[in-house]
Amino acid sequence: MNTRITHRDALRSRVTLGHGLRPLAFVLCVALSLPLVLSAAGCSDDDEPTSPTTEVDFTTVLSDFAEYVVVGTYDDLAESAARLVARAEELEQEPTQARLDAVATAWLETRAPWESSEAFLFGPVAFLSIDPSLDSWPVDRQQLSDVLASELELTKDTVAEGLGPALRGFHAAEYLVFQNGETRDVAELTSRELEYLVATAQVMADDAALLRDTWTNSYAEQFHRAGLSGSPYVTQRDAVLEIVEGMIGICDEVANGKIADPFDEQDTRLVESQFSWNSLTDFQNNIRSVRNAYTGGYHLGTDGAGLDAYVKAADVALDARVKSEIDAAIAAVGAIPEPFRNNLDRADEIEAAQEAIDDLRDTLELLVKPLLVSL
Amino acid sequence: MGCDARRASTRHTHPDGYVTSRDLARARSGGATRRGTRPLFGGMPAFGKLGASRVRRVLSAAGVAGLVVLSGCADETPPSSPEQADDSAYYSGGETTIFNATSQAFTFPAPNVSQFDRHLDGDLAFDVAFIAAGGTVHSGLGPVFNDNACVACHISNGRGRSASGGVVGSLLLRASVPGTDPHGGPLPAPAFGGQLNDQAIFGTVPEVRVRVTYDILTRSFEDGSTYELRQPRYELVDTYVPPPAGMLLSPRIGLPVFGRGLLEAVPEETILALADENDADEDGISGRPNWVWDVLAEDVALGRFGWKANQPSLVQQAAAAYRNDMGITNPLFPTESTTDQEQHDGLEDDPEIPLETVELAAFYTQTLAVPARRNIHDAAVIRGERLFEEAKCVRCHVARMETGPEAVDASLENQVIHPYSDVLLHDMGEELADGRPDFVATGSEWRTPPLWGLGLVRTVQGEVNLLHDGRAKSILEAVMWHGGEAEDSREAVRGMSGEEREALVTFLESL
Repeated sequence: MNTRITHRDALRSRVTLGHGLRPLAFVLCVALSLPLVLSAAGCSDDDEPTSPTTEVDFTTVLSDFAEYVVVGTYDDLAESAARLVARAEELEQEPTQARLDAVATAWLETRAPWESSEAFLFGPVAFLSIDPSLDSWPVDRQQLSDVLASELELTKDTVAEGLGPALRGFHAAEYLVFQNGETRDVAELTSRELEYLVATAQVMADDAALLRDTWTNSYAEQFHRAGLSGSPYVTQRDAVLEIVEGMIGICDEVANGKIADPFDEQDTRLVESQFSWNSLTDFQNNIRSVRNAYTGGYHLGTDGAGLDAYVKAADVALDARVKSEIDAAIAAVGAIPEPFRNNLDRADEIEAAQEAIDDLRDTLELLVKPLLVSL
Repeated sequence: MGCDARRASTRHTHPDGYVTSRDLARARSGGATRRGTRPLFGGMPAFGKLGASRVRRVLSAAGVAGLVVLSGCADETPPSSPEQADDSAYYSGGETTIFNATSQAFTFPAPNVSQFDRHLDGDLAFDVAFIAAGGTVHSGLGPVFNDNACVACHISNGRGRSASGGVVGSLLLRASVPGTDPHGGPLPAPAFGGQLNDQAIFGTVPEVRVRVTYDILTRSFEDGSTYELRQPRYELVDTYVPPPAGMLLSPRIGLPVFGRGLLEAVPEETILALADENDADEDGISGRPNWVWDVLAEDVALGRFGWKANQPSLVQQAAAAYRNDMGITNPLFPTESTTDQEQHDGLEDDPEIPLETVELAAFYTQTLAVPARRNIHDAAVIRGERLFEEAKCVRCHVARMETGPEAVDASLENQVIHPYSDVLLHDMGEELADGRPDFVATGSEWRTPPLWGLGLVRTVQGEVNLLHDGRAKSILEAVMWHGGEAEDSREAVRGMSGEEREALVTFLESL
């Protein structure tokens, strides 16, 4: 286990030198303007005992979040994963380069909704340990090669029940399909690898379907019924806070985990999605999921009501700031040269991306969250 | 929405309303989450140490906090400060308390943590998923194990999942044979050790597969309404070698990991003063300390952690979990759990992690925030608390303790806390007994588990699964499983009206 003292120090100096320049004027401006807005939003002075419901009704935004953002994303994930299985089975039947390319495409198309779901890693994905099952990193290459060299029958069940999370999911499949950012040469794939690919894809598809179905069958309702009996959330505000914590959490993880871990250690082994060279796209999709959670849609869809409407009503500038910081964070990640694993020395671009994401994180934490839970 | 001017006006000194305590905590300590974040400034150093830009950050954070204070319109009656008697009950963990009722409630750093960087390092250690020896990073898993990451059995830092049918991972079985080891602890079962590992790296056979099924026992309250108890049956299948005759088993699920630094900081004499080994006061409740083996000190020590209080410190608790649950050897437990067993690979490498990693993971748990109570001014909660006292539940679930002046982090020192535990062993009756002694603890004794965070269990992990093996699917079921020394309390609850029971549960859900 590496300690992160050096990393911390580096971060500190970044904070001090480059990042501590947040204009005080802005903060004061917000600090002065918000109480007025909040007062206007309805601060009655009755002394009734508090009730578990907030005055602002978040029912629609919670229900739209569940339906359009979460289920929308998981629908895409489940359907893409099913296509990945189909392409893998076709490849196994007749291994051609074109079919392997199709598997690679299907993997990328499944990866996108998964990474776009990481602003809401709460609920069934956590309760049922689906996150580690789908997305454990690192992949256990040592055990995988032992399994491939063995005579173990490779089926969905043996992968799901007999082998741990580090031997399945996205990165096991990625390891079998990609090498150095390209689809492997189909001639290199052994029949055992093909079998393993099919089995692990099937487990992924099951996980994805379970995730979607658990939300659609029960958890979506529990979530949007926050404040009512049967919901794990005592108040609507707790559910709103859950959404915001999820957004903050993924910003933090991308800037200070997914990017920082390999960057600080200058260790390519720590880079996720490194066989496909898809890391930067992963990170961008993570930030897009923040946008989805905030606006109540799936990838710029405008289907649902989002938290942005509440922020905008209280503070137009803050809403604009969140949206522009989301765009800026996505752009800053995109400015890191591809592939991430081969450019860990590009400190300027990497630190700029971390700062852009941290800016967004701070805005969510210090401005958006207090505002929303105060409504 | 209530907008209580008095509360609003007092909040500026400690604006710890429902809304802002974590904001302030983050602002002070630099923010934190699962993977850590950029510290703005570690801990709470004097402003003099800060550069100009950092001071600006302090001000900006204070500005945000002040804004909420000014607005004074958060609808929950926000507590003013731990000192204010009216609201002190919110602060289950004293100044380590955090106001958050989401699924992340158990994952925040204590807002007053001193060594924030160390907490983040600990978070990273706690978060690691191990892979088999020979792997690129974080290797050494197994060869036999129960799961591959701390978080696998402490979901969102909470409990393990309850099991049904095939058991994998977060429920495990401790094993032993009659007798004691040289230090008075359980005698490991030959060929299986002190714990059954139901997973293995490829090429090694799991020691066992476990199946659990449940019988539903239907019983009645005095008012005639019925309730159900879910009685588990454990069955070993596919043992890799025949198990020794008379093997003793004890099922366990992971406990929540927050708040334990506070319990560690409670002076030993405080806990011993609560003990009443021979029931001198004749209230039917004894309360016994467990005396266990401290591996680092090489001496007997008071047990405080685990379902039977069989671990004396969180460092040893973490070290034992690394080795017993994941097969990660460390300086406290340097041998693989397969040593002397048929499947031992003979590779007694250096410890797979250093003591520092164990200490970091332990420090993470020691300095996690305790979630605040909710709804403490609700009439039903107040009534339920009175019923809790009248039923004498508080004899063991001790509501208030104080930590001592020295702890592993300053945040834990001199805190008034509300764990609802006495950290002592109690006979809980035959129906909960595992029949497996553990140091001083008999086969029917269990440590009083802390109740803080109880009402958030479902929010954090999607199910309620209480007691040592997760058998109780509701708070009331857990209450009604109580026996032995708690039989009178249970009978008191049995005699309550439906409305009273509901109030009791409402109180427990506010914890």
